[in-house]
Amino acid sequence: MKIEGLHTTEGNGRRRVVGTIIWEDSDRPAQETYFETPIEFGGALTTDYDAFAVAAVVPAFWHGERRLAVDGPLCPTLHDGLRVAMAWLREWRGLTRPSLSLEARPRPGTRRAPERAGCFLSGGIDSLSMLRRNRLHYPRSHPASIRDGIIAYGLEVEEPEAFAHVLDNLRPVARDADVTLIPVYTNIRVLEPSWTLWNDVLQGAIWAAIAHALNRRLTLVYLASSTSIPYLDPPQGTDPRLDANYSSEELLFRHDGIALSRFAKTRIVADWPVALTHLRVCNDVSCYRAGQLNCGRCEKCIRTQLGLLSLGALDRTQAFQTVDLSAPAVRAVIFSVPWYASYEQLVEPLRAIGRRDLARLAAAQVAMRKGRHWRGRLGEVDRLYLGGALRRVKSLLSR
Amino acid sequence: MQIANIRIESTDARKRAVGTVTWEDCDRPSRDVYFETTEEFGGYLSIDTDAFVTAAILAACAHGERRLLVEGEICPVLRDGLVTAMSLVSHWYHLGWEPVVLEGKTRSTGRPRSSEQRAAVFLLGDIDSLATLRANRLDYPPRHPATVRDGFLVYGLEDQPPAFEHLLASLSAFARATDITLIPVHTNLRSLDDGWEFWSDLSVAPGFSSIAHAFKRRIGRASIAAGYDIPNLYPHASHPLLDPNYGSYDVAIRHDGVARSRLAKTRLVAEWDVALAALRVCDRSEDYPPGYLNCGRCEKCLRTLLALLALGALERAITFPGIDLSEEIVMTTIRLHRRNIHFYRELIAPLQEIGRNDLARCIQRKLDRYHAAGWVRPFASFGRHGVNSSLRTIRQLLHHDRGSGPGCAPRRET
Repeated sequence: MKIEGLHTTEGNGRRRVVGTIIWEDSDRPAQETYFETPIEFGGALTTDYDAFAVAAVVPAFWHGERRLAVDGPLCPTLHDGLRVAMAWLREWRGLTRPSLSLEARPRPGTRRAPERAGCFLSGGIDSLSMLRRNRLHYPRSHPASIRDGIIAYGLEVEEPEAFAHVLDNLRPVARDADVTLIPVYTNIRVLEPSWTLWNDVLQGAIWAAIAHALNRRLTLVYLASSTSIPYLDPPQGTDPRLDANYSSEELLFRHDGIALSRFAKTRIVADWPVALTHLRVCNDVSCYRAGQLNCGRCEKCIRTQLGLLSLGALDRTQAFQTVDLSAPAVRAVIFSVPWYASYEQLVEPLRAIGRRDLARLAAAQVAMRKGRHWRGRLGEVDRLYLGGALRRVKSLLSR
Repeated sequence: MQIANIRIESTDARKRAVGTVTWEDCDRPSRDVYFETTEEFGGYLSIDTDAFVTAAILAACAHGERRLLVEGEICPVLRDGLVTAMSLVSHWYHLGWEPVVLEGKTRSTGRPRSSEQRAAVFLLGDIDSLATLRANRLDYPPRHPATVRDGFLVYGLEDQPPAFEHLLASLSAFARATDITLIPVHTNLRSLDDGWEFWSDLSVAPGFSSIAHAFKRRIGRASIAAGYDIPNLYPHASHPLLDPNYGSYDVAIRHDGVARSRLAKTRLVAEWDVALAALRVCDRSEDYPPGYLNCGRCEKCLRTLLALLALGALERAITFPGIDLSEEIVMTTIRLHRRNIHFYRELIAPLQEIGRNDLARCIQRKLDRYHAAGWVRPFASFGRHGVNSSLRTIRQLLHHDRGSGPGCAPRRET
């Protein structure tokens, strides 16, 4: 793969930095990729290849490209980090192919912007709780105090009208937290449109690429963790072990919040009225309406409602189009997903507020899914250490 | 726990940053913890709290302190990181810790990154730290701010005095040859808990990181060399998920070299003559023959010698006494366990390539025997964990009268 042709353009009130991606070993067409902001933030846009290298390295590696050749200097810290990131992915995903060769000359010095921190702000539990904690724990004069909130178009939200709703919804939160909202438009997912790969290997790199695209304005960008320490394995495409490697000397990319459970984060949001009012957890973009961005029926909505219910905060928000936390409604939704971490954290709180019916459902989900997890590990021990003896005994018994 | 009266003291052409640590919830004597260096570097010592908080936090946690109150300002980035580090350690070792509450004024400023701040590495003279330095020399332009220019040589953490003198002499020559400024540091931070397991399982990274913080007036980033590569990582006192949490806004801590196997790191050292001339992998300084930095007979020496042989660098390994690498010595010296088998696995093919099939076969036999006995290990491990877990439970019950708040975390069995 080659990355070349870095240039900027302007039009329709926006500035765009463009890079051309040329595949060498896989049968894919050359792609023009870009990051774009409204003209008022145009000065933030990068003038180097770091963003494009971070965005391209995982798709290139995944699709068997032998090299990633960058037509310009690359930060040596980032260069080193990308090699480490690939080593993690190779280990986690059982890839046997060698790491692709990163060909770029090292940037001799740094061109660091004045210290300024930003964060990705989707409006969900993770990012809102991160912003809130930053406000509560960091003096405003500290350079790690968040000043900008980045909201990306073209990743998880791809409809202009829906994106406008998301932006409108975030504005009161941004005002209250005194952060500047920076919309970033990108087509970078053309490199790898698969949602499975997005979740499994790609996500952190793409968020980091957007952060690097703004490295003329930001020196530190936080990405809220969507998991917590006990649940780091199996690893996902955004992970503290992986994301830290997407940093350069110009931009520190920080995976934030693994010490807190989702329930603890929900409590932080529940204690922040404007965030509770403007919460957006739902990914069903087709349901978005002005002022109401949560369908209220999907698993993520239900899971969040259960958290808020446990905290006595559900009746303080109108953020959900529907609220039905009857046992049948909850059962129908939560058993349809394979994850259990958030439900494990909800069992006791639900019991404590007297919703034993819902606590039982949460516990059942944990038992069902965690049990599978445990059985998987036992199978692994059997395979590695016992030569499959347990599997043979089981099959004998079941005859 | 309280940390107070942080100050600079001068003694005998040396300077030290000192803080007084007082325990509040356990019966341990208060003591002065210090970071000491020569007059030449004494001006770079900091009296900020960062070094002392980082050095003390896990001891406070392990001994059931409810809070850590510091007289001075705490970096908010470091505070966040320490909470994460405590949570990680507690989770990995099943300790049931609640993070110690860090009390103190939050620092309202942070130092902008600049090329004035230097990058440092902890130099132990071993494969890991020399390879980290070599990789840095190869990958970073000379004037880049992340180019390592300082090497910390620390006394008081792992080495006994004779080894330290050996090391100082050899690394001084190495530093001169490689344009590294060697900063000797003495510290007694291990006096907070001098148990070996507490150090090796929990405190390596916070211990080294605290030294970097003590020199924050000079250092902007410090690298701790990785001991294990990604496929062989396990929860440990220095780990890529853990170490960066001991950094502050002003001083970043890197866990460096995790993408390279030990053989790859040995190759980096073997291709760098000046490093090969300073190589010290052996912890048994009392067994060093005169004029050498390694005993040449222990498992770690033998493992390194086999790698150097495979890489064609054995003749240039002048810090090892001459050893005949025979099947017999491999069979009698090497004891395989789950933390070192991968070091040997990767040696077989290179040894075959240089025609030492005898040694390759010998290692393969060792590995086969190790794996043949593999079915016992999960049960033995389960037994050990089961026993430890029971001991912890009993301890928790015994300590139950101290209440159930965050400070009542049980001590780790050490």
